[in-house]
Amino acid sequence: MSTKHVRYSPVIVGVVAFALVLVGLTVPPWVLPPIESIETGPAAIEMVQFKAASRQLPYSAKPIALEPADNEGSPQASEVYQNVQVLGELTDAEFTRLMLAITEWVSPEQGCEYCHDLTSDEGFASDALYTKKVARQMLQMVRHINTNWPEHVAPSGVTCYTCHRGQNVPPWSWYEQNEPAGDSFMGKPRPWHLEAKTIRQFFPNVPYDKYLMEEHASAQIQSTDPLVSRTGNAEVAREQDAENLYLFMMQMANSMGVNCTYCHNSRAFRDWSQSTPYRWIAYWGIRMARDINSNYIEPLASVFPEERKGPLGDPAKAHCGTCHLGNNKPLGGYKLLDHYLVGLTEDGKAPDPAPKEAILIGEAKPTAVTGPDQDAAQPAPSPAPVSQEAIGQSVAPGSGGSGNGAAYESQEQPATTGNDDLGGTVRPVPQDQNAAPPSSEPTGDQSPQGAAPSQLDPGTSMQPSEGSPATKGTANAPSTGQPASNPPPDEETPGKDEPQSSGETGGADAAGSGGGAGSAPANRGPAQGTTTRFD
Amino acid sequence: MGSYSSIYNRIQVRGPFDPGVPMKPGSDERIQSKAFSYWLGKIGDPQLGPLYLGWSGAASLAFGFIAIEIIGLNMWASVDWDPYAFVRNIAFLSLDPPPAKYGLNPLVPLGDGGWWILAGFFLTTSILLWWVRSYTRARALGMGTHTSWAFASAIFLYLSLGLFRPILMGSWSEAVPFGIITHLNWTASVSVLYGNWYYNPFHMLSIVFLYGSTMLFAMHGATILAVSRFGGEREAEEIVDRGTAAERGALFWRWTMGFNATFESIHRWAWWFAVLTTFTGAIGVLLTGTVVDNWYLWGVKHGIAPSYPSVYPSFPIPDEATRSVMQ
Repeated sequence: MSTKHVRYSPVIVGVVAFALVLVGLTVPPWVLPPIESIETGPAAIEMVQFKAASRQLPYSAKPIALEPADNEGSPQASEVYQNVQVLGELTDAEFTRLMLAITEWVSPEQGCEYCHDLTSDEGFASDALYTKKVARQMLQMVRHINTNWPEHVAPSGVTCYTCHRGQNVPPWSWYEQNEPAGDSFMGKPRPWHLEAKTIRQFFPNVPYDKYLMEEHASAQIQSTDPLVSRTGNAEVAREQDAENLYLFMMQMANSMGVNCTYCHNSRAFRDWSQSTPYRWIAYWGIRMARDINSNYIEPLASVFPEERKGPLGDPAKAHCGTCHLGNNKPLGGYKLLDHYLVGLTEDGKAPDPAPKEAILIGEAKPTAVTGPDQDAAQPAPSPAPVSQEAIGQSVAPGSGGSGNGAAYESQEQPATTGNDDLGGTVRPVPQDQNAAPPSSEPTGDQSPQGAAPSQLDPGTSMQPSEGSPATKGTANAPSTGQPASNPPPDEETPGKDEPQSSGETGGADAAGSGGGAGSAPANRGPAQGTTTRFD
Repeated sequence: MGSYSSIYNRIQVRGPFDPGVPMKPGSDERIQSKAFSYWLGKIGDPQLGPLYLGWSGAASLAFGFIAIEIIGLNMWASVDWDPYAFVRNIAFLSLDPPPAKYGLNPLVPLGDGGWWILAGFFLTTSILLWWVRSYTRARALGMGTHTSWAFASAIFLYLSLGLFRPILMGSWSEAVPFGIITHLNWTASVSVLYGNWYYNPFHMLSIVFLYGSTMLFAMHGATILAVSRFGGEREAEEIVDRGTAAERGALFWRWTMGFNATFESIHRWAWWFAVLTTFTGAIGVLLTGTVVDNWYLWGVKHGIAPSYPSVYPSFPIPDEATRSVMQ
């Protein structure tokens, strides 16, 4: 052993280690505390969103609305100008004001001439530039969105600026890409491997066109049965489909600066009854993106010049980030549209916040978007034909019955077991789906005593609740009558500790309400809304 | 005796070159390269050699080299043979198994997954040959074959992921791709696809044994280092001839944990924990998609998935969300 090593190696190692620590501290873009965390689910299951106050979102400048137009005595735009196809109804003053605003939003550097070929004989009326035709289509799109997609865009609505942010082309968009072929593995356009800055930018965009066009793939990849089907039919999607959906969902999360648990309880992604209401807004948003991509943007493929198109010849299309740009509400919900309602909506009214509020406040009916009311086609819920005492017993087995496995059984087959406990004096409540039709709307008294008041946006102040939230239903919403924990349709099996907790906290309520018993299968969760602890 | 009192290796035992125990008849010759390394001595035995290759070792290295070549060259090809891009993106490059349309057909076009099958074949052969080597070398040294069987448990998990389960599912596309990030993506996707693997009881067991292994390793390593000043590093001797080191260690654990393993049984604890980590994991893999389609719902069915209180008002769900996917 040479003394030289002994003397110098610790020094060398120390210097190298110090250098590494220094690099680690200085090179990555660290986010310093405090980092705000906002729970979006029940306590202590880590459905949490994080926000760093210091984080600056890209393109987050908020333009100031122009002074209101003086419409008095102003003629209609169509009388003043030629070739006004969309905004002819506006007064000249309002029309000019909107044009100025659009110029500021979309082509602040190029000015009017970005769309209007002022060198031509027709002047402003000329359609010679492709940008004019695109702008007209986009104007129609904005009006369509604001009037027909209030479910997603209310109350702030959208303007040109929501996507453009002062750029000629919205900063975030996507093009179709080839599936990775046999001779290439990643299916990304060439420069990505040199330009990507974050891990997400290494992910291909391939799946976007699978989910963001009117013809779309199913996003239901999980099985609704615990076990493999006896018929051998595949109920689980292929792994590649799951990965595609994963990439698409990462796009959503990235676009909104949230994580999975903003909408989902990540232990059961597919289960709506465990999801947050924000999943509905996203659900509408996906459909809105499909609508505008397929009906407004894709048809422009023949208008755009080659340099504006993607490798497969399609125009740049919208995904969630096109409007959101990292914010769960574009521009933080800045209500720019309110100043331009006349031109940027079809009916001159601000987007109706009612459908969204109905979801968030809990008044939504299943008719909202998905077609006919499913409950209407099903028998109305009726009280079970047993005494309320029996209801209490059957929902919450006697305390002596637990622990030996009997209680367990009774949960798996609620309609046929548990007779022993009841001593044959009463019939157990029929709790299978046929006898107890799915979910009436909120199940009244069965609801959570401690449910949080309706909250439109995590982190904001609570909305004044309409009616008493304590009497609203909870996650029993699924109109198909599945219990909150969403087991397979034929085997309703809530968690093992449910009877006990129901007995302790929710049982009395359940027993006190025939309606509650009738909808028991839909809401047999353990004392929803209480502070029941789970082991 | 106080030399082991620090947390890193302070002493280097540097004696004359140890040629090893006598060879058994029928063995190849050892390669008597002799070397000592100061830096190796920092973390272990400073002696390098003698080497032994044998037929299984040589074949294993050759097959393994071919497998790595196939994987690496395919990855390199996927970035158009750009060396900079290859190095920069190495973590994201992938050699994927054949798509589902080929089923279990072994004759797949090379560019469409055929290379994956070849790489898998060579890698599997290499690993199995290395297992043979681990067995025969242990025997040649007169040792037991505990290491080989522990290795076999890990191989069982590897084969379950890449061979057995794809065969049970009837498609190579079910297998794991070769790639650093991509195999992690596969793991995440498959977990979600099959309804959340955290509710897979064999996954739970595997995690228990994995974390248990690390804990046992830390406890055992700490104990032996702590009693080395009393001769505790001579574990094998103290197994049968319990000395003060073993007594002190045992007393320590009875005081802090209420129970103590012996100098022998601690090694059995550790061995079984390690072996069962991969073994139970492999069972969980083999049951997924063959028996259980949705582990979360399986957990609900068997009462291991608690319900949580709802913090939101009720809201409807889209009717399409209630339909099963693939009908």
